[in-house]
Amino acid sequence: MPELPLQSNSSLAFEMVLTELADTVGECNVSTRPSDKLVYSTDWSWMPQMWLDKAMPPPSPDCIVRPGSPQEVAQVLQIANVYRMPVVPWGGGSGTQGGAAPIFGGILMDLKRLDKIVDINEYSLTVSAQAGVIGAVLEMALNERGLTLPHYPSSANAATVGGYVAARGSGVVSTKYGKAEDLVLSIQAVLPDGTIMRTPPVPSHASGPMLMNLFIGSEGTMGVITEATFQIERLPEARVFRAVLFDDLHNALDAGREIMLARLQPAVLRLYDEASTRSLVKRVLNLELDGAYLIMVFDGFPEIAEAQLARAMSICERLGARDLGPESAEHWWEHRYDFYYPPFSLSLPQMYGTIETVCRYDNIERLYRAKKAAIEGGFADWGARYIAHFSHWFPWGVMVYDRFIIDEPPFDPQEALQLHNRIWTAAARTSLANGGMLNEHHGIGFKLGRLMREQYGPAWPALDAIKHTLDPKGVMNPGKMGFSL
Amino acid sequence: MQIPDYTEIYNGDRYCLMCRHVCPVERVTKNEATSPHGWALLVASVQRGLVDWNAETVDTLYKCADCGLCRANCVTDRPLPAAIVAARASVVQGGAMPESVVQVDKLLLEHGTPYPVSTPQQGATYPVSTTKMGSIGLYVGAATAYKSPAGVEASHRLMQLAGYEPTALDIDRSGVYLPYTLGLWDTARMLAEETVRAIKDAGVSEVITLSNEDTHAFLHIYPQLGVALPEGLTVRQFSEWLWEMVEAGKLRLRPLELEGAVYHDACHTPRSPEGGIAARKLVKALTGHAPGEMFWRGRQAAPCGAVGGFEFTQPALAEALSRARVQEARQLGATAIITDDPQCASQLSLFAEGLPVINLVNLLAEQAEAADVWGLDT
Repeated sequence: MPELPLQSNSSLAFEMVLTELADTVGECNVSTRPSDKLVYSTDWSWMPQMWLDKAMPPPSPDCIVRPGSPQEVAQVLQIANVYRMPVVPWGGGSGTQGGAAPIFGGILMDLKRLDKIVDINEYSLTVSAQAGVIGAVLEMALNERGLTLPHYPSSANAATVGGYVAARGSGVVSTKYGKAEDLVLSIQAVLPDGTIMRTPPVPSHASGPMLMNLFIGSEGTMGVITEATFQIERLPEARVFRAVLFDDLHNALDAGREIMLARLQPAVLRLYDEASTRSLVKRVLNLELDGAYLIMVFDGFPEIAEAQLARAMSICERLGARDLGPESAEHWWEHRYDFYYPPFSLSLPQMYGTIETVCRYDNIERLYRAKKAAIEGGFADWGARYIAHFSHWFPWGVMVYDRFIIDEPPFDPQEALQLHNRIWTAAARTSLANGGMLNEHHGIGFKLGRLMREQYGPAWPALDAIKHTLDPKGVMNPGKMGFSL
Repeated sequence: MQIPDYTEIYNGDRYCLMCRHVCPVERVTKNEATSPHGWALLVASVQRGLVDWNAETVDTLYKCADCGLCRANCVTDRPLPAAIVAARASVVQGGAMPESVVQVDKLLLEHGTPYPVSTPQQGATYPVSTTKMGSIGLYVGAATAYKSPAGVEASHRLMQLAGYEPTALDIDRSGVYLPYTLGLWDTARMLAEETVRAIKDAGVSEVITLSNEDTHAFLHIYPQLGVALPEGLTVRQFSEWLWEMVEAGKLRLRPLELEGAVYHDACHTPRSPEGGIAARKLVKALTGHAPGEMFWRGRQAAPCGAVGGFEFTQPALAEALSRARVQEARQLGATAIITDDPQCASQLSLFAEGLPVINLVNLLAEQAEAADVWGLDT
């Protein structure tokens, strides 16, 4: 078992660390400035944000380091190993589970200096980019050539290429094009001991296990992703839109299932439950509707997209949907990220969490209703609300993007954190009990780490052992993913 | 002066990451603390007593370029730049501003400009006079007069060629943007009131600005300072006015060979929906083709460093922004950078290192002289 990491930032050893880091990445790329430490003390997760809101400083990094090459990343990791200092990789800081929060201090490694788009291959339709390239910037560069990386998460303006892969993210067209993990072909990564490695140049082969998969969704616990190659697409010739309204969620879910089982390949199937339709859709899209609101988008060649939509519409109509036409779906597409801008986004002092999960179609309605009951019934004293939409569909099942919201949480930060944890635990256990996972695309971070052993059962020690074999001194993002220290 | 309360903006924006990718400062520093949400979090944290205003935190606050990109790219139009500048004003009121700001204020109060005064071109070339064909004021401002005397002369000449004799305004006096963005709001207000008096005295009904920062000041900062412009006064950027003259046939442009130039959208362009459009038309009219385009353009145009008072408070950042812009042009294989803002041309020239930086206005005026085809199309 490795020792606990060095944590003092006032020791002689820490001064040695700073000197060595400055020698590696340049003095201007090492910071201990208080305002820098303040901003890096929180990612996009509710817990540290709430602490800051209550004027309680959350744990902050001892220093922030900005390496400019994989070689510099490797040297920083070697220094961290010598001094047993935690290293927290930071891409865009847009994770919601605390994956980039420096809960044990240490070195916060901001990777945004790795900002080169290495290659755009228009013949094979691939793009290679360094880990610190912002998703939206990569997309702008691709769009200038009529290309796209069809990964459009709401965090694209902030998240980095490395974060896409390390957090196993999903975007609004994932139903057709897949999640980040489906789009990535190969990566360059730096192992915790400083070894720089590349995975095979193609993801599909029979030349051994998928080494790349160890890093996908690893949230910086297995090493540092420094470059990724993705498959890309030509921008679609057409997008066709349609919105429909179901009286209830049951038939709406069934319509989504049938569309997927018919392999109609919608780019977007976004189904809002009745509560979300009443609140979110009204607030952001200005639509007053009662029922379950479903948006469909098909893209590609116009004649094929139109035919797919026609088939999907016949399924919806058979299940009792009311056709709302294309306008509101187009409006949603144009404003699909508005939900995440203030004042539309959830914000403090509210308490909230995205407790989303994924399961097979035969479990989804039961799971949804069980979680709704667990939140609204279990935390009725706090007036907990539960809203959900179903936005990432697979050939075998669907994810439910569900959230809890408490408008007037406890004022005391400790009490608030305890309540937050209790709700998360109840939600996660309800997911597990109904065939779901802890999470589908927001990740684990330190928020859900405690439940990983419960989820994986007898398989967990194997995963934990792999982690400690790669990272025997435990420097990589300690306290995350539930790995033992 | 009452400093507006932007608490809701600081609180709402401290955890919003939606515009960080367009922030030019963050792109060169790679530092979350010097990004829109970083500045909002800093001010919100000061309000909560987590940190205080000291040399380090104030320095971070003054690293915002006040370029307007975050707001221009915000779908809910959050006035974060104004909120950050208001925080600076609060710092100034509390006496915690950087020494560089103290010095700028002193120069502004004593001389009306932070630049050396009584440059040779002043007074003699641009006397305050009445116009021949309408009441037009050419707003120069001390910064443009100091940094681009040739540009001012070229502008004046072009206006004369179009048949106008403008009244030159504020050659010796700083524009309002500089003191405003540094948080020197009392000084900014005083200068704004003096400029309004000068406009009234000259009796002009239209002001043509040479630099985008002055257009921004007239349209957005004067109202914020509570200084009313004379009733009915219109304010336009020089390129827009010039294009109108070309379209009206009052100016003729002789074709010019200019291959490989890329267009730099002037600082503050994202603040104006029409920004850069007229200038591109002028380039096309002159050269027969549209200029090359930078990656960061239009609503996402990166400033060149002539923003936020950086030349006084953050010269290293100003240089980094300029170099980033020049590098962007070089990566496109540009043979030159062309822009219609004299301050941008001046700033970029400092770091272009062999890459020509062309002030579009100078080019237009030079062509007229060389070709000798300028004149009224009566």
